[in-house]
Amino acid sequence: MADAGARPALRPRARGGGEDVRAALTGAARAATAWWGQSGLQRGRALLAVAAELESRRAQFVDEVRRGEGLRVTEAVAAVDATVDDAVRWAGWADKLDVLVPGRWGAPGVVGVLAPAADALLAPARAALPVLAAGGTVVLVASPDAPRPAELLGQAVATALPAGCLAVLHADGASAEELAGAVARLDARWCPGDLRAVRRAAAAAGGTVLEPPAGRDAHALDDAARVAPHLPAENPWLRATSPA
Amino acid sequence: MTSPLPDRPDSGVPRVRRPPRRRLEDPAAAGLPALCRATGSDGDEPAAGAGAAHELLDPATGALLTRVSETSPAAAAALLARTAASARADWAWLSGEDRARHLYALATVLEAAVRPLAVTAALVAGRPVRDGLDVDGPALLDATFSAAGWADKLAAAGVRARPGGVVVVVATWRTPAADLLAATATALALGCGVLLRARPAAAPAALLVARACAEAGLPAGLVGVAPGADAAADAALWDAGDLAGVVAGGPAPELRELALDLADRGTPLVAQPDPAGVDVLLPGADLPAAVAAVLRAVAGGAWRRPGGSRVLVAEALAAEVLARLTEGAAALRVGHPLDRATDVGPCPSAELARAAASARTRPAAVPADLPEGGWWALPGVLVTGPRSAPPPPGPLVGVRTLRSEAEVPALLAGADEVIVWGGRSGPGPHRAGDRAVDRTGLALLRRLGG
Repeated sequence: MADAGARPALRPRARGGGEDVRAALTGAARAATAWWGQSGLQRGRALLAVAAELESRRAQFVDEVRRGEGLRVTEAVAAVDATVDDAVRWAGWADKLDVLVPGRWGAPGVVGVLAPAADALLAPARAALPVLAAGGTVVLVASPDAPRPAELLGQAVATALPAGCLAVLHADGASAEELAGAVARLDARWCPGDLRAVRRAAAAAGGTVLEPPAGRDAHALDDAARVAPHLPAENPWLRATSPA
Repeated sequence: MTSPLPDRPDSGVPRVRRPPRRRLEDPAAAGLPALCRATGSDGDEPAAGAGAAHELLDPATGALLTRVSETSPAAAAALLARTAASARADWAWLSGEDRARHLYALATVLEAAVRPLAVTAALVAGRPVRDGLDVDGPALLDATFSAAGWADKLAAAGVRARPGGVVVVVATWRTPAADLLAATATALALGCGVLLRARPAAAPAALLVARACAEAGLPAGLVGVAPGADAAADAALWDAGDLAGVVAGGPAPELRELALDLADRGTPLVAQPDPAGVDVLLPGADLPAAVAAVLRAVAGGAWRRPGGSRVLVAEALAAEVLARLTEGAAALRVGHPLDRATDVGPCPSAELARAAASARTRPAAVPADLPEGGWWALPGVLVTGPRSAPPPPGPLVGVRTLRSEAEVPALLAGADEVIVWGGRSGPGPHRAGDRAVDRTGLALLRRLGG
């Protein structure tokens, strides 16, 4: 396992101020056009490459998750392995979303994701991967306490997907509210804390916040429930006029 | 009508001159063995108990390509038992996630098998190598990748795993590599082993698939090949206790017989009838696109549509469509299947070439630079009516004029692949049929998985 001295230097982190949020959103919107233009199979292959990248850097991820969350090594390994499994799983869903959620096939566009403080890798991965599989892009506000796993996740995604598909912001200041006020949909299902400020910002901008499921852990959501809110209802005109 | 084409080298067909052909793809890329035999057997000679060897002839020259050893009933049953044992011992207990990863690895390994498979299809069935590389190759990689993705999603698809069983996939010369791989990967995703029951002309491709599976790290013996066409060996397979399902293509009557054979035991059969293709051209059709699609089907010949190819065209469009198709068919380049400039290769069998030649009302000259002895049939457009039969499978298309749209449903009987251009739904194309709908392989998964 990598020690602290061996950790590779990361790129300067976006701090999460208003300017950084706007830059991330601009990049994500640009990437969304290119990413949505790819076929489901192409997106699946790219996500499988992300899974391979995650697996190749497993020791580094385990190390960062342990440091960030104070977990035992077995727990950190389990979190990283579950993340890799999830990437493999969504690689396989990318060309089958019409089976998973029939009648929905619109473009997700740019989706905001809030990572919880205590689940720095698996939760943001589980929020972001369905969006990416469906052809959307993500601006992710990392865990305030342990941002490095999310940043590494962003780097892994960048090795196989167009730049900007997963932008990672640090949870400084009012970044969550800034993001909530700038995207149509903010996925906060893995954040059980106080979301009132985020809700207010989203409501003021006409956006929506995906709340934690009542009475259960967001990790228990099935695949359809995870991706369905990001797939707009089918546009009958598009379906009727699309080539077979 | 031309004189019948012989099974062996001939030079009796009139021939015309044209520019020299380009360099041919290296036939050695196929890696054809001198003798194709069941997996798990060693040496170049048939094993004890094996039946006679079939000769595979080159459709472009009539020369001997390779021989295929017939698998005896006992050997076929033993091979199925070995496949089941491998599935139980080394495959069935893996999690869906693990199986998915193995199958994704197979999809990666298959990238290196695209060229050998394309050259094999060119050598054995006359499929132009350009189509094998540019069309069949990406399709087989996509099919494998997509099927691999089901391995960890069986519950979401409402399918139960069938750990330890064996799915027999019956492969013929007209089984596209994508269909072969989709069936194989889907069965593996369900936790089954796979036995490729390859008819003689499909044996080289099946052996390439089995080799790719081994190179991808799948357990030894999990994917086996039992080449041959012996009905007794088939019966031995259908009676095996470990048989979990059968995937087979072919003419509808053969598939009905197979369904009867499997009915007593209740073994699931995924029947894929040879597609007969019909393009329906109605007012408002995108004519250039429609004509181009029909010409692609003509070029694909018996490989693309083993059930034959027809066009039903509205009276108002008939003259223009006929003129465009005739001109386009004449421009298709008939050539050696290993030549990348070739649009139309030889027919896969002497019978098909003979049938195609018989269907033409006027003799057509074969280009002089083509090897003599090949099963050549030139592309053509035949006008058909209420009393004339549709053309046989091959580089031919029958065009029938519609007096009204109401005639269409009755004329689509027996068609598996129907594409509508124009009419109420817009310029098209609008597809109908199971194959068009089952893009993700879900139907195959559900029929095998129950």
